Amino acid sequence: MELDIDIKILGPGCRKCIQVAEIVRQVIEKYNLPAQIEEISSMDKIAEFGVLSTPAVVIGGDVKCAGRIPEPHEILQWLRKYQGTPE
Amino acid sequence: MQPDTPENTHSAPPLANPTKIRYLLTGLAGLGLWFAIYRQLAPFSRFFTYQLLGINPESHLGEAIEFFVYDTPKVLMLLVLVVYAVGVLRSFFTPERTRKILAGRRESTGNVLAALLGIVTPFCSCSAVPLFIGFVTAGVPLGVTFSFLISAPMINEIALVLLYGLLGWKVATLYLGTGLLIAIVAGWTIGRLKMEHHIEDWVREMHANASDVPDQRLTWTERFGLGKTAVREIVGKVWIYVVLGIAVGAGIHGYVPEGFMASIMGKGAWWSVPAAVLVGIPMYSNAAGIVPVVEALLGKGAALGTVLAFMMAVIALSLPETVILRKVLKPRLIAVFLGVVGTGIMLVGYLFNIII
Repeated sequence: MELDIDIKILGPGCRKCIQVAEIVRQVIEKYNLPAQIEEISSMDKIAEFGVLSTPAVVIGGDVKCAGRIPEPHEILQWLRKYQGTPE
Repeated sequence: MQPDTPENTHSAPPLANPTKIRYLLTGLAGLGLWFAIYRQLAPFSRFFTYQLLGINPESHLGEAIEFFVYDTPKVLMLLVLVVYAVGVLRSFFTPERTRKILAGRRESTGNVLAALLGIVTPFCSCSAVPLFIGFVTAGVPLGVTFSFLISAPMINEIALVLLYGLLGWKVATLYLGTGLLIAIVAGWTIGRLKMEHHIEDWVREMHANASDVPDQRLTWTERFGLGKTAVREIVGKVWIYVVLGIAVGAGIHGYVPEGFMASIMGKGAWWSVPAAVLVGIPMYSNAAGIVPVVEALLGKGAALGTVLAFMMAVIALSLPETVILRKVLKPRLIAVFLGVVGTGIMLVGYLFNIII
C-alpha cells in the first residue's frame, strides 16, 4: 500500500500562493499521484520551515522551492523523486 | 560538431556557444529596434496631434494630447526595458543568498550592503515576516535587517523608471541616492538603539531550522525567461495605472494653472513636509499609481522635497506592512521604526526644499 505524499504549500494567501496550490493540485490529478496537500498560512508556522520568501513548496518535509511559482514539470520531478521512481 | 565526451555533457551545462551568440544578436537587434522607436516618439506625437488631428498648437487640448501621446508609449517602453533587465538581474539574487552575505556582518558595512542588496533581491512585502525571522535567527544584526526591509520596498524599479521618464534623470538619481541613505542611516540608528528585546518573544525563542532551499543553478535561457515573466507580471499589472496617471497628468498639464499647489505644498509652507509624510504613511499605493500624482503635484507648483517626501512615505512606510511586521515586533520597536524612517524622509524633504 502506498502512503500519501505529504505536500505543504506555505503562503499567507496571496495570489501567487493560491496559484501554486492550483498547479500542484493539477499535477497530482493529472498523474494520479497519492498525495495530500496542506496549505499553511500562519506566519509562525511558515517561519518554522526556515523559508525567507513565499510561496514555498514542501514535499515530505523538504523545502523544494521558495519565493517563486514552480513549473509543473519540476513539481512532477520532485514527487517522482520522493516516490523513488526515476522519471 | 563536437564529440559527445563526458567533459561536455556534465550537468547544468553552460549555454552552448551558438545559442549564446544567437541570444547576443537577438538582444542587440531588439535593443536597437527599441531605441529606433523610442527616438521617434516625440516627433510622432507632434505629427499625430497637430497634422493628423489638425489641432491648433497653441491650444490647451493640443498640449494635453501631445503630452499623452508622447508620454504613454515612452513610459511603457522604459518600463518594459527596465523591468526585463531587473528581472534578469534578480535571478542572480535570492533572499537566501542575501542572508548568507549579511549574516555575521558588522554594522555599518552591513547596513550599506543590506540597503544595496534590498534593491536587487526579489522581495514581496507579504513575506516580510518569514524574511525578518529568517534574517534575525541567522545572525543578521537587527539594524542591518532593517536597512534591508527599508530599502527593498522604497527603491523599486518602477518608481525609478517613472521618475526618470516623467521628471528626468536628476530626480530619479536623487530618489535612488537619498532612498539608499535613509535605509542605511535609519537601519544603523535602530541598531544603535539596541532594541533586540523588543522583538516578540516567540521569535527570539524560535530556532528556525534554516532549511537550505536547494540552490538552483539557472541557465541563461531560464534567466531571460524570468525577465520575460517579470515583464508579463509587473507591466501587465501596472500599465493601466500608468496610462490613467498620465491621462490625469495630461489634463493637468494642459488645463490647471501653474502655481496652483504653491501655497499648500510650496517651499514657503514649512509644515508641508511633515504633513506630507503623515498623510503618506497610511496611504498604500504602488509606485505606478503614485508617480503620476507626484508629477501632477510638481506641475502645479509643489516643492520637489515635499513631493519626494510624500512619495517615499507612501511607498516605504505603509500601514499594511506595519501591521504585518507587528506580528514580530513589539509596539515600541514599531514606533521607533516609523519614527526613525519618517524623520529621515522629512530631513530629505527639507534638504531638497533648501538646496533646489
